[in-house]
Amino acid sequence: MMNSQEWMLFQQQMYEDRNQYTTAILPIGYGGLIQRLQNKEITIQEFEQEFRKMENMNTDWFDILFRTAVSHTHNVSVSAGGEKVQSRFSIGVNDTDGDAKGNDQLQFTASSNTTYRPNTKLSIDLSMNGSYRKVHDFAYDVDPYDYAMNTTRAIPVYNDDGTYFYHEKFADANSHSIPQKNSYYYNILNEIENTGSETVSQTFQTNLSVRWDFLKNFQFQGDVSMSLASVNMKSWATEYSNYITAIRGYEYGTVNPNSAEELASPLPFGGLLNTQNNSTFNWSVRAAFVYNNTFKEKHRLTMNLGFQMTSNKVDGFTNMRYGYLRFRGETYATVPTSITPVSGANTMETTLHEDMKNGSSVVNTISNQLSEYFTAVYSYDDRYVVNMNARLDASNRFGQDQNKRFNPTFSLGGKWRIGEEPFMNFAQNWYDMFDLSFSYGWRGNAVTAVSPYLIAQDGGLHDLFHQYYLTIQSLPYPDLGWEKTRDWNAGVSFSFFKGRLSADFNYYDKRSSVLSSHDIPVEYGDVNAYIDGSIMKNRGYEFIISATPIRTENWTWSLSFNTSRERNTVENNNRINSPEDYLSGAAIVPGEAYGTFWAYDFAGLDHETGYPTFNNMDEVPADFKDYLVKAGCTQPDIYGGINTSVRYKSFYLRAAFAISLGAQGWLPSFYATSGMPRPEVNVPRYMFDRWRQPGDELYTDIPAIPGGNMSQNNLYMDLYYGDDGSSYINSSIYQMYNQSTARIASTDFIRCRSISLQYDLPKEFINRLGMINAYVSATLTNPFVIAFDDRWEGRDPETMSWPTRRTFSISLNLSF
Amino acid sequence: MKKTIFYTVSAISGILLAGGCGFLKEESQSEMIPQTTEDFSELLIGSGYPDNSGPDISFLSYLDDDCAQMLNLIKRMYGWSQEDNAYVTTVFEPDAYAGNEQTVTVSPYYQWQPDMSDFNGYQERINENASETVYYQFYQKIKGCNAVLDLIDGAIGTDDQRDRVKSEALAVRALLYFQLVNIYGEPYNYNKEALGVPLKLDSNLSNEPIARSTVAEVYENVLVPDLQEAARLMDPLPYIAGNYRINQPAIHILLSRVFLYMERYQECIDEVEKAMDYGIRVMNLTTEFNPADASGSDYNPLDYTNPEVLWLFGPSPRVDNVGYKLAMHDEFQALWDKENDIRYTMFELGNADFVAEGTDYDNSDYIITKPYGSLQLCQNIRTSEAVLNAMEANALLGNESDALAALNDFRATRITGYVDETLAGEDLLNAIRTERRKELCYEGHRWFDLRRQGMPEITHVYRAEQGGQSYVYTLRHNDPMYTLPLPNCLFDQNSALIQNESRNSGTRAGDPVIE
Repeated sequence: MMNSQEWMLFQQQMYEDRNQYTTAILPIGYGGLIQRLQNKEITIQEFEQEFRKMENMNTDWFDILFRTAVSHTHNVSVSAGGEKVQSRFSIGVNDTDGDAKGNDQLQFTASSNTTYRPNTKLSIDLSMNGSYRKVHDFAYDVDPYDYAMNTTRAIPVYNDDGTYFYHEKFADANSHSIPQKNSYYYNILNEIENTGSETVSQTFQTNLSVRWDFLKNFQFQGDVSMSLASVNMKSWATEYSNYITAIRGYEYGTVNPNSAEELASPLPFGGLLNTQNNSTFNWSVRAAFVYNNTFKEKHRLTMNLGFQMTSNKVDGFTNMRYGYLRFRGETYATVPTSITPVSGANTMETTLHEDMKNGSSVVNTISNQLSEYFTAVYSYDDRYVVNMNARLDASNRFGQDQNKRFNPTFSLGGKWRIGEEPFMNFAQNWYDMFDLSFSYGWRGNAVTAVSPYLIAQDGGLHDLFHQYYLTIQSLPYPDLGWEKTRDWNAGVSFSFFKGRLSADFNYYDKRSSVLSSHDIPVEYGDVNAYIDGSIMKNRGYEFIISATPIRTENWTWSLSFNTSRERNTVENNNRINSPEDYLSGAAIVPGEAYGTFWAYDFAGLDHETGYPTFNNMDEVPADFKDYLVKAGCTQPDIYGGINTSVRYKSFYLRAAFAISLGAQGWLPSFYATSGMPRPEVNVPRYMFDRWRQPGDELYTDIPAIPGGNMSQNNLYMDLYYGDDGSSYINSSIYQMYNQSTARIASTDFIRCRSISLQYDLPKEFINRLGMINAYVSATLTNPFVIAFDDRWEGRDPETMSWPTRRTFSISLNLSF
Repeated sequence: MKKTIFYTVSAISGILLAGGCGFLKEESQSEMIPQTTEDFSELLIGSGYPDNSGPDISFLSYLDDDCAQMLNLIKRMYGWSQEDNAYVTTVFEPDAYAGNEQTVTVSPYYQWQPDMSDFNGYQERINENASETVYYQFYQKIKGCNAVLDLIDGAIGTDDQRDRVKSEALAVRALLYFQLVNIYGEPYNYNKEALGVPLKLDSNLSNEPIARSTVAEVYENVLVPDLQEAARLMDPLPYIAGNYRINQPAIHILLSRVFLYMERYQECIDEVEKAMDYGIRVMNLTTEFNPADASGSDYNPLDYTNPEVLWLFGPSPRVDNVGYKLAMHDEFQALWDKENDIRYTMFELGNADFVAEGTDYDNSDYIITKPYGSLQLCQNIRTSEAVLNAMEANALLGNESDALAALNDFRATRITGYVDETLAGEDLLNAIRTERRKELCYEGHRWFDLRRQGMPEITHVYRAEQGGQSYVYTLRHNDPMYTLPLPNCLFDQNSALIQNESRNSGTRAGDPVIE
């Protein structure tokens, strides 16, 4: 994006080229300066002075709003043990700063685990843990990254005397107090100070497990666990913030008490507070019987039969209240019920009370689940293994088809441990394990999104009809089937040289029939619905290989590489793809991988006007796809990672990398559908290369600024398609440019995920202090990304809009 | 093997299930499956009846001849001025609101521009998604009625309750299709084979495109039969008034309106008589209306306390836009006998009394107190419409004496000191139509009546900025723009839709007004 000098030059160019704004603008930046000169409010010298001042302003928004994020994680644990009882206790603290100033998190955790073994047949284990976490974050449209990226650097954040500099910002609705006022002062630092959110969450969990060998080959396993969690969230905007000023209708402190303006304001005093409290209580019970026996030394059989019940209850409430006086003891001011606008319209009721009523609610839900499962494993001579699992799950979710309440799962697998075969004895020295495995599975899910019955939602008491009422939550889907999935896997894994080289390769093929949501014509009364099944096929492989080339007393180097590749296709004969589906990658086209997207074929700029032109626009096609060309796929062909670790004595250096190849994405779009960029907005550097006069189209592909007056400039096109050519969409050519081949980049990258350095404190030293283990480590997350296509200009190709977020953390760990 | 395991496991789970039966009982805080007729009645009022949120036909009030741009403002405000550091009186220009954002944004409606459904006055896109359109609001409510009609036969309850819910659903759906086909289809009495709106009469979902049915099909296959069936079901049942639900006289009056639009005049008169059987009456404003009531911010002349009102529903059919103060213009004001016509006071159609210098005054204050806004129900069906329907039908049938008697009786209830007039032929018909225009002004009837009454030529004067040139825009006799264009976004999903001819005409140009 441009700095302030470049931006002022760009604004000057636009003024000379007689580009136009489409809508009313605020007096900011160069546009505001020219307006003041034309209205004779300032002289030419003053204009030049202001211009120089703005040119040199170069406000570094990123520096003002962001910081290098550092985080601390520390952990202490104590363990004690004897013959019958062993226990371990640990506490930890984590203090993480987000990279935007004002975003941070503090967390404490504690846990304890005790195992009691009165005799060899019985073991009882009790564990408890708890945590407390507090997060500070932004609220009410404050987005520091968006502001830093998109605001021009020619406006300052402080005045010369150190107070905040405010610029104007449009609001959504006109003020009732000052006729036709709909813009208010804004300063990002003021907004951050006066809005925000705080979330506190606490959890506590406890678990009791019993393992009892009650008969020779039988074991009973029981688990009971319970957890409690509560989350309290508070988000506020005070009366000094722009968000509340836009509702109030005038700047704070600018009207007299009891004046007509104050009586016309829906919110003369106070701001807004939103609170949300949820507490969750969860318990679960599991009981299982395990049979384990070996017959005649070679036949080993293990069977496991169990059942589990889980219940989750959520209680909570949400509250929204205007008139919040944060700086006056956190009390509330009265919100008027009706106002008399200054423009002389009749007294009207305000909508704030309705908003408060709709923003407050109570949550009380309970969801229960019951499952039964059975597993059996049989192995012969440790060479051939066969296993089988079956499972049934049922829940109390509302609106289920009564015939399909149980979801069954079944799978069958086998493994051949080649390494144990007699004929492999010759190689015993150098390999440890060599297995081939195969499995087949089948699963059925009842559809959860909709129901075969009409589901209605209770609306309470209707304000105007004064009666109880119900609204339609979902229409009935009478012919819902099961969503069935069947998959099979084949794999090879081996380990050689006492674990110094090992690899694992797994190939899978999964086929599911799923329901998916489609856009439907609005004449049905809904905008989308679940129509028909589609068959989704996932096929792919995963491969991981690790090696430890060096292993000596002082040095160890290990390296691992993993990669996976997946190809998904969806088959559905009945779907009609809409034009937007093709452009976003949601279209289902037989034979094309899922995630393939199409784009308009950019054909250069028009000689007369500098507007973008496209190929394939001459004929009316039967399918909208024929206007477009295939642009790429949003899913990568190859996705993998490399991990490496080097140890020298007590120092460990670890690094992890990720690599992605073969996917494409849309570059961030800049052009609006019409008019100049607004005066408070920053502009990407490539705009200097735009078309300005006839002849430029030979050197550049960046189009001209779109004209401000739509009807005179033919900026919209009707694109007809369909069998009879009567369907059409109306699109701006700049929107088409943003979705054309000129704005596609490949998202291939190599990312370094983390680099960390760890030092184990010397054993003699720590043993004297009573510790078993102690280490310190420092980690840098996301240090760099190499994107192969430089058109991303520093943005992270995975998110396609933000740059990579680097964080740095330090950690200390002690075990007693 | 697989099956044995499966059966064993399911047997065990069956045992466990019997024990844990309550554990898996379906529960939800606020969701439920409607079973009884009472449930379906609540579902109908929540999802089918037009309420304050939709469907919003207020934009139609920019289109008819009761609307004019505010170019005769008389306003002054006395207040503190920061610049002068004193209290001053600001006097506003008569065209102070020309060029204002509220005025320019809706100007394509006022100027009858062909792109009114897709662009606002600043050439910004509106109605970009089908879910934003008024068209979708109609179909959402129609879906609610369809869902009730599909499932009501299986509901638990008495036949009387079932019949009542069914009748309400059929009648409300008919009203929704009536408004929809009169916005997007040509008038029935002009070209009934023209394309109307897509008919969706059940609640099944699919993504098949639905083509537009003709205007004749909508009227003859849905409006008339459904309203007749609704009347047949509800007539034997007890008459309940004032509960925000449609009832027997309202159904008959709605049916009489449909017949009037179809030019089936005798059937229109018959339906009005059936409605009158329920003991409904026209209020005699000369004796029953107290002018002192017409003050205060809570005053609403058209709610259930008015004995003429039979059914209240729907969002506001008019707008409150400073740039287009409805009723302020001379042509509308000239229709009224301000001294004697009580409706002029009842609906507050005149200016606030002019007050002396030194205090605030705004001549657009307190204009039109017919219900308005998002916090009340603003449309209604009332007895006076029945009387007006029958009057117009009689005149068009040639029963001039009946029509004249009805007109005189009606006016006698509205105008103090009224003396019967004698009119005949064209004059009688025009007097009846003007009476209808006055009585039902700003209630969502005028645009539809203009279409039905021969699509006459009407003009709008528009000034784009303060002190600028005014232009006259003319909607010609039988202009295609009397049938509004469909928003473009609808064609994305429903490929069977065909656009109206009015969309393809060129930008309408205004003729400069020479002062």
